[in-house]
Amino acid sequence: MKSLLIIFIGAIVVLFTGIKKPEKKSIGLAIAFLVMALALIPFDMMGKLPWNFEIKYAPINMVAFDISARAFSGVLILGTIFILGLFSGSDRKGSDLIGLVMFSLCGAILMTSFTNLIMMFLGIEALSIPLYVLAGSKKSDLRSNEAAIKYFLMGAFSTAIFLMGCAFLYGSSKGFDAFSLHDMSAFVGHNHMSPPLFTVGISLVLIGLAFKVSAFPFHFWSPDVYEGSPNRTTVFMAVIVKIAAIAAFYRFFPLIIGEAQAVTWGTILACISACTILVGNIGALRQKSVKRLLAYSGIAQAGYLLMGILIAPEKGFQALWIYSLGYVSANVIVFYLFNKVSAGGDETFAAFRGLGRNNKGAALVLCLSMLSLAGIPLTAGFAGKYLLFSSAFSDYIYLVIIALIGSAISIGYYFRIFKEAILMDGEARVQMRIVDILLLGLAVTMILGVGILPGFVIQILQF
Amino acid sequence: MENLLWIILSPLAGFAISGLAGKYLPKGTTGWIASLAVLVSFVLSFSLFNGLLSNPAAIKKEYFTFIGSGNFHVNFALSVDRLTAMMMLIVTGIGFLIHVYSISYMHSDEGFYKFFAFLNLFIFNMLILIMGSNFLMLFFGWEGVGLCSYLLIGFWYQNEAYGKAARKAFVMNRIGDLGLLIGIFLIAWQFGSLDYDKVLDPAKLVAIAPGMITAICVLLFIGAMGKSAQIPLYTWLPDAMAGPTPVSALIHAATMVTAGIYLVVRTHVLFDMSVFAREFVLIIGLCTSILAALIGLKQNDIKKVLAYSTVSQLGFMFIALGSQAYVAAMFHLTTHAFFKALLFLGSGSVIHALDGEQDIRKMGGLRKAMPITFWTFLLGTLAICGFPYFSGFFSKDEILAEVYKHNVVLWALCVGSAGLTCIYMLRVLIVTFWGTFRGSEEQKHHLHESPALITIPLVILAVLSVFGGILNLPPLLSDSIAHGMHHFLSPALNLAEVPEELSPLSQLNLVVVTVVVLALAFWYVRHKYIAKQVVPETDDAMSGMGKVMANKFYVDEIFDASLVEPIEKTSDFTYKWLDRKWIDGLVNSFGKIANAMSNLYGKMQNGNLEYYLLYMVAGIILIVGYNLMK
Amino acid sequence: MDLLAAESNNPNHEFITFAIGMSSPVNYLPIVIQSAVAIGFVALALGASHLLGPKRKTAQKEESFECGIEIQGNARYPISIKYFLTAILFVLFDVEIIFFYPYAVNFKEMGIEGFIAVLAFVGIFMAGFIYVWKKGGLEWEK
Repeated sequence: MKSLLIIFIGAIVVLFTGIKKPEKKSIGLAIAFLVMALALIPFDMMGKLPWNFEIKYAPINMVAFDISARAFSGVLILGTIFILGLFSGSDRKGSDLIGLVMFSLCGAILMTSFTNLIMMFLGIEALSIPLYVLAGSKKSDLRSNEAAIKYFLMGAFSTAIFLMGCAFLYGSSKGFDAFSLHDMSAFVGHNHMSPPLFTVGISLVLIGLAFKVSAFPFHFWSPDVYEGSPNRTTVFMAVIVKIAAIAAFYRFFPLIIGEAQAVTWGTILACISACTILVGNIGALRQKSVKRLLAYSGIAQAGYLLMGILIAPEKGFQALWIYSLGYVSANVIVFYLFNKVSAGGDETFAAFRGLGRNNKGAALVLCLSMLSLAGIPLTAGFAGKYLLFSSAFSDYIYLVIIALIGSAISIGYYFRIFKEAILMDGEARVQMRIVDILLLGLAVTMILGVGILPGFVIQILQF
Repeated sequence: MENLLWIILSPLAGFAISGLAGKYLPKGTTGWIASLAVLVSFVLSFSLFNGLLSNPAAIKKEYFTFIGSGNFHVNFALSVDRLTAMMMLIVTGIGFLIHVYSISYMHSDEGFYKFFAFLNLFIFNMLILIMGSNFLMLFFGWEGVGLCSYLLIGFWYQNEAYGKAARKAFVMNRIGDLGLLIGIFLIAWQFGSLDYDKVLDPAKLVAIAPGMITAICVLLFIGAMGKSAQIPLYTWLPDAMAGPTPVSALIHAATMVTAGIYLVVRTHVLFDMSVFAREFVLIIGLCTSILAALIGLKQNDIKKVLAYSTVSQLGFMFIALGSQAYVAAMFHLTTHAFFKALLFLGSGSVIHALDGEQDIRKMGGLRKAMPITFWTFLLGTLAICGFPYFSGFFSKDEILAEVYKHNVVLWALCVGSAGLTCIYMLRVLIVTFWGTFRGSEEQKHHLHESPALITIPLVILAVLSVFGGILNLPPLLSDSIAHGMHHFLSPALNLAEVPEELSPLSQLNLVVVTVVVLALAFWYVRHKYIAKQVVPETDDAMSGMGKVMANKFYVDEIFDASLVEPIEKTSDFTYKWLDRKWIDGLVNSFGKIANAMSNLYGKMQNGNLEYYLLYMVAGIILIVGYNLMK
Repeated sequence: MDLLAAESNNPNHEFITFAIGMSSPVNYLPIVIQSAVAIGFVALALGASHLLGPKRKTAQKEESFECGIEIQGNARYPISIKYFLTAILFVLFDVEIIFFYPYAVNFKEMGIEGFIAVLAFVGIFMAGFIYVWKKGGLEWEK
């Protein structure tokens, strides 16, 4: 709660300082607030480990900062620090955009910590509405406008469906709070029945969240919107929105209505996960634009992340957290380098050509993040995938097989970037500031640290 | 006991400093920093050892979880019992001496700082190997020392042959490692844990099928074969002499190659359960010991002789292990570490003085020019030959006594092997140091005793080689301090307090027989090389059995013809026909299918919002419909 | 309903009856019938008039408006964004007022805590307003 407040107040302060001053100063201010929020996370309200959902908070508070909320908030805030620090100046100038990013982050944090459907809805809205604006923040660019309109229309559609689902759930369990939902799901799960109101409500909420993580068949917006949006917004959508939505997924499905998994949502989610993995990886194969490729890669990654929702909550939490750490750092690195090399306007793979010759360090970091995304051992991506696949193996063996096939396909397109960057000659060149090097170093440390010592990183969660 | 962590961190820090900053520091400083790092480990190990002298309980420390998956946990954990403490003293003690030696030996080399970085890294990995409290840590260290060995053998990588030697060592070791890895997998599968505490628990072993235990033992031993250079995976060790001499002394004589011994001793509970595995170890050890000794007889490269001698001595240790004489094996490991390190360093001193010459046919008469080297080398040779009251005498005798208990025929073969050892070592000694100098005039002019940094480690090691036998004297000689090492190690190895003894008379008989055999060997060598002043013939002049032996029984060639060529042929065939045509075709067709699907999918993603919404609605209807119909 | 009988001594009886009652699609039958009747009536009426009624098409009949005045330009005429901005600001404050009403009704019960909450609410609103003001959002001519 403290960190959420700090970010909110920070957003307002940043907005006001930006009335006269240029963007540069407000970025520093924003990052200072975010770092403070990150530092406050351990001091947030303590909750027990969540895998036996702490019902006692649910009726009183509409948010609870238990361990999963704090862990995911930490990843989100860290990701936003990366984004604001690394992508300054890639967008239109203006501190209002930074303020919007921070407001959006507030929504994301609500999505990690709700204990009430209303709070989840507010979180989703607070996350999305600033993003509609951010997607269109390059006002003179037609593609940016198209992206904003597309995102807005489809987002509004999905929100309506989500809200409809909430209404159904209210109708079936006589409450919005986690307590009544948990009770209802326990009843449903133990008696192996599926009351239509409840089932439909869960399905619709699932669809609304699936849109946010861009899972099949609700992913169609993401390549178009990613491609058109300014780079900073794209990476924000790719990283923060996805992780926040997965955190909400995790909180709502396994934790609150986990007992109804077998009768209501388990199979559906497994199917969605499998289709998402296949569609994401297959769709990525033929892309020429790097941003579209990363959009599809993000879709595939969402598929893997959804596997974490299906498995036992404790393991799911660890796996999702490890995976999201790797996902955030690898994506931030790739987008940062892409942002730098595509400054000339070329957004295809060719933009990376010659990086290996001109900037060995940058090429090395790029390769590392690609390896992590592809899930090669000793990177965070591998640790996350390993945890997900091994835990899902006993109950969802077909899903794991499909996921493995998907991973195999993915190597094809990740290594294409590799090839362009290392083997081809070209003009790609990256000028890094000290801050950039520090942040990239942190991201690399996270990829390697999590990859080499996942057990040690998981132990951090015990604090 | 945070000491445990510091012991391994100190060489790691040394590695980091000399590796990262060594380029910019003066050479001496780098060398001393690296040596200091090992000295710190040695001192800490020694204090640990002291503590263990009074209290045999193992010291354990868990740091964090390496792998945690369900009920299966592997921790980054260190544990030191008496066995480990002994190994630690050997590794860090001899390691330190060799570091100091290297400061002088490598002083003119360009990769000076790299060399010390690798040495420190090696010490770090070796310590992980012996201090880890589970098989994963062991494997980590195992691979780590393999890597360091590879890096150091190929240290002078500009020379292509050296690079190839390094590669050979690496590949041979990988074969062994595969066995070890499969063994570890089997252990994890059968025991559900990799911790020594849980796996090596005799109560638990009863529940495991005997066949499985045998399989695990054999696989572990295959790992040991690779690392400790036993038949058939021994050919890399002589080639490994391509590395700088201190490396040969440290890695390929005193420490790394004994990792296999350590592995078997550590897991001896398993070997105790399987007769087949023990016999297997025994036979392999015996064959290796004799074969390597025979090859050693005709080698003319001073380091190659020592290398074959190492292989032979390691075979000896495996013989001991095969006859369940674990303490004897550890004893011989210790004394061998002393005198073989001494011999290698001595040979290094000679090579240094002769500006890189390694062929003993071009040496001779060095006795006068290099007195300290000569005397220490002499003592080392006597120790390895088992000259009475030198360390090798006691350790070898103990093994022989144990084998005698086991089987008389094997004992006779072992005595023969010991005699061969004596012959080839004396041959090297005499050809190198007696007679007249046979090198070029220029070399003769430059001939000098090595500097103090080289001779001091020699002297220290010589003292240890002479008096090392005190560690585990037979009761025949002294009752009060007899079986020192046995008493020290017995709590760690779960052995009886007082070892089973042969009767004094038969002990005496054995000793006498051994001494007679050795005396015969002495006489033969004296007759041939001193009295007749025979210099080994040139390669062309060799004939018959001698030529076969000089060519190492053509084992490398046999490997080439029986394994490498068929494999290459098969690989060629599979590459052209199976791989290119069928597998590639199949894989490519998968790629084509994926691409075609991608194209098809591209048509769905057409940029029109209406279509997207349509797909979404279709999805919603499907999901909700499925849930309601179910 | 065996389940209902089995659970009848459950203290949470009412809840269970409620949930089981929901679980039967039969309960929705009246709604389905009513929807069918409604849709059927509309379809029938429109379809019948379409089929039965006479059809005459002239140019004048096809025009959008028939009040006698000539059509000028396009209905989709861009209006200045300032109108929308003002309208949205109005709606925001309108909604704020709506929230005040329940607060005013419960003013005493909610006590100091409620007062602080509403103060924070108004404060955030004012901050937004001041931002718009300072940013020049309220200046018509610019």
